[in-house]
Amino acid sequence: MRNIAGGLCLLATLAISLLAAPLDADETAAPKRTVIAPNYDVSKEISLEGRIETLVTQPAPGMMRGAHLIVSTAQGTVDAHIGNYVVAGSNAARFASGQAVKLVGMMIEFNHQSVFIVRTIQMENDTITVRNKNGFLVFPGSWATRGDASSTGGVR
Amino acid sequence: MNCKTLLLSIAVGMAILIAGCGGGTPISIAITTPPPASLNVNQTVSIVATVANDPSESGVTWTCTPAGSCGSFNPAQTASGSMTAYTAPGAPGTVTLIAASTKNPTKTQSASVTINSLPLSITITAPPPMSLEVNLTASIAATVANDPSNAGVDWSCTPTGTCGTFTPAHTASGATTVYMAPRTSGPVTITATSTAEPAQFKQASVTINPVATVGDLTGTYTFFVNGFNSFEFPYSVAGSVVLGGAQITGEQDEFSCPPPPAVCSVFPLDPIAKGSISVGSDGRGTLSLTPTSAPPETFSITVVNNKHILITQFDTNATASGSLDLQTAPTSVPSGGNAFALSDPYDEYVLGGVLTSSGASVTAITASEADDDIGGAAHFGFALTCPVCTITAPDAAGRGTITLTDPNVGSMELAYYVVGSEAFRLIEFDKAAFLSGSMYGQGSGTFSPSTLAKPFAFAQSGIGSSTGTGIGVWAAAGQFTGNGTTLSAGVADVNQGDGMPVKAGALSTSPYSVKANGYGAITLSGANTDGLANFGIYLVDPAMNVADPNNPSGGGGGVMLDLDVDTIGVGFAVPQTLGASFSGNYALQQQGAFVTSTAAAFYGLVGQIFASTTTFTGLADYNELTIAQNAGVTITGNNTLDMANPGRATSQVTINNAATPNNITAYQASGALLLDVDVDSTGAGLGNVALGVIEQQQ
Repeated sequence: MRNIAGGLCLLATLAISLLAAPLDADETAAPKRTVIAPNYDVSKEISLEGRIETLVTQPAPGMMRGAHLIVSTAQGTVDAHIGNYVVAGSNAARFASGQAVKLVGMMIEFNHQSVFIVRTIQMENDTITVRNKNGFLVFPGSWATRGDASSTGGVR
Repeated sequence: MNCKTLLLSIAVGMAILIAGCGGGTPISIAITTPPPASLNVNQTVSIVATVANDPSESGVTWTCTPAGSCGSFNPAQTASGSMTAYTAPGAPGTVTLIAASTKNPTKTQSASVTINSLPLSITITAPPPMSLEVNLTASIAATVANDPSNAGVDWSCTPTGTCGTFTPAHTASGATTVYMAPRTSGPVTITATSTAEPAQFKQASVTINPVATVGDLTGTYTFFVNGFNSFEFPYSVAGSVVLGGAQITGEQDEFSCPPPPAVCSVFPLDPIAKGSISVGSDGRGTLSLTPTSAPPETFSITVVNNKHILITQFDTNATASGSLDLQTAPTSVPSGGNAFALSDPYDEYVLGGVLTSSGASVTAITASEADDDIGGAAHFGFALTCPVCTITAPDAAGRGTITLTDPNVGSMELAYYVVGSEAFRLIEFDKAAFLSGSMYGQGSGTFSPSTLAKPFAFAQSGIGSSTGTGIGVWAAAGQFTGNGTTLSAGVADVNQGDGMPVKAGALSTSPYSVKANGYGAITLSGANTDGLANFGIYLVDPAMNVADPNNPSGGGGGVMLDLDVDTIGVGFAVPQTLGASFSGNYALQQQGAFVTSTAAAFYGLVGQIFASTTTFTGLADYNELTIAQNAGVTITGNNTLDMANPGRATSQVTINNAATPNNITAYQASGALLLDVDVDSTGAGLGNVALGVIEQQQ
């Protein structure tokens, strides 16, 4: 079974060890790698609970591309970006006005407006994966949504 | 009478006698060979006058009127009966030629001559070549003679409207104009006409040759394209087709992912039942294929040369770009050292590296060093584990299989289609993942950090955490030069569609490494490249041309991966020759996505342009996948060289007469290859992200 978290650990381990390596580029030295702070940072994730006001599949110019859930929360109305993949096709997730949702994600600024970048959507007993832990929108049925992308040593 | 007196008497008598004889026959003169009644200006004729009764034989003196503008004699004084050459004056009119006795100038004879102008004439003094390729240019000139008005030359050609252009269409006599051949082949007649006397003209015939003909494309060709389908999900096809026969046949592998609940469709070993191909004079054309199981495919194509054609899917099913390359060694098996780079946008997965193969075997891969990135989680420098590492020999269509085992993922079965002995197109067919890409042999190349110690141009594209919220893909192109440990020079343009496109971001001082097996890494800070920081580079045979694998003018380079937390991507690097020209006929191709205030689409474009250093113009088929399929749209653009970064140029390119041109940055690898990236992106999430190639037609 694949384990993304394990992969991240390995990445971090690799990065730390490689950063300690000498900078010379020769035929034997391990290449130096750069560790970039990710745009999507799971440590900055928050959860929001509220009720769906509406699903916006055709965002207005200036809004982030892809579908949005407009969610009413105790803190006010939130523009939650969920991308197109979860609303595409005949098996698309269905979002009804007034439906209670729990969103996990991160708040960012886009075009001078606050947008909540959704990683998962929890509705009743269903959890929909919108993004992976690095913030990539995931295609339905891909490894990230199946949860079988491995880190190290995993063999299907 | 003495003797003295007698002598004097005789002398006087003789004198009287002589005097008496002379006075009886006076000197006379006649023009015995007269001039014609009329002469052309500056025309020369021989004339003769004879003097009679001139015992002194003083001859003839020649003059004419009106003095100063009546012409000249050479010589002006002749012996009687001898010839002088008379040259008429340069201006028309009437002159009188006078022959006078030199002894007695009062004895004259004259002749009146009318001096006429010469007839106007025109000559093509710098003719066009007998034949010229479509769109190419030739400097030509015509000279008008005897045109006192100096009105010059008017240029025209037939068949009108399809015979080409002249810049300028009017020239002074003897001055050059630039004739540009039309886009279509065939005979053309060029006419140079005197502006002063339009009845006077000269013509020259030119045969306009096509860039390519459909007959040039004969044999088995391998094709591959990667892109997105109409659901905006990843899509790839690889296969081979037999061209030049009565019927197009072939074999292909395809995968296409629709939205759920349907699963990704995979069509391995799918026979191509029929097809058709056409090629126009400019090398643009259409290849239509009907596989047995997969949906029909229509590709717009542009011929680069007989062995290499750029193709882009041009239908409502998908927009995807790649190439069609002649199979020059169809029985080849990946052997020895190989470099590869594969991408699976569906699973947000890239895999690349180097491997050593023993040939067709169940344990073919004997050594390897690879990198991958799974949705932002990168793994570096691992081995592709065996025992599941089988390579099979290709079938009659040039299709074999290779099993790669990424220890971070598992085993994956891919088909490979042979291009040449060291070039293979790969596509996964087992549904485990959806990888596609290329593998190139490393030949006898020996690799070290010094391998990158010369200029290279590179291009990459992929997906990322930002692209999913913006335009949909990211793209980058750039150039770098290594010094053995770091990049001593280099810049890149990066567009993630996030409103912060990087233009000429500095790459210098970035460390890099290359191992003896060709496995390399370029480590950027990310600060100047919008977060792109870790490149894998896997070096190929120094004789290989990665962009055109059958082209012997290679130079090596490598395939590349982007291995970052926010982005993954795939691309390649090729040697760069600084100072190369950009002139002539080129095939161009672009694949990307755009978002405007009213529309958004993945798109692909393939076409043909004629470039003249600072400007270019041409036609392309432009597939705005979910919007429209636009055939034969105009492409116009201009180039501004980046003097601070030789090899880099910025362009404004207008596609299909759009009101706003696209901003493109091109990195010129050579006179035959440019890599370009669209750098339009605004903070409002609008813009255009695309990666392209421009290859000279040969």
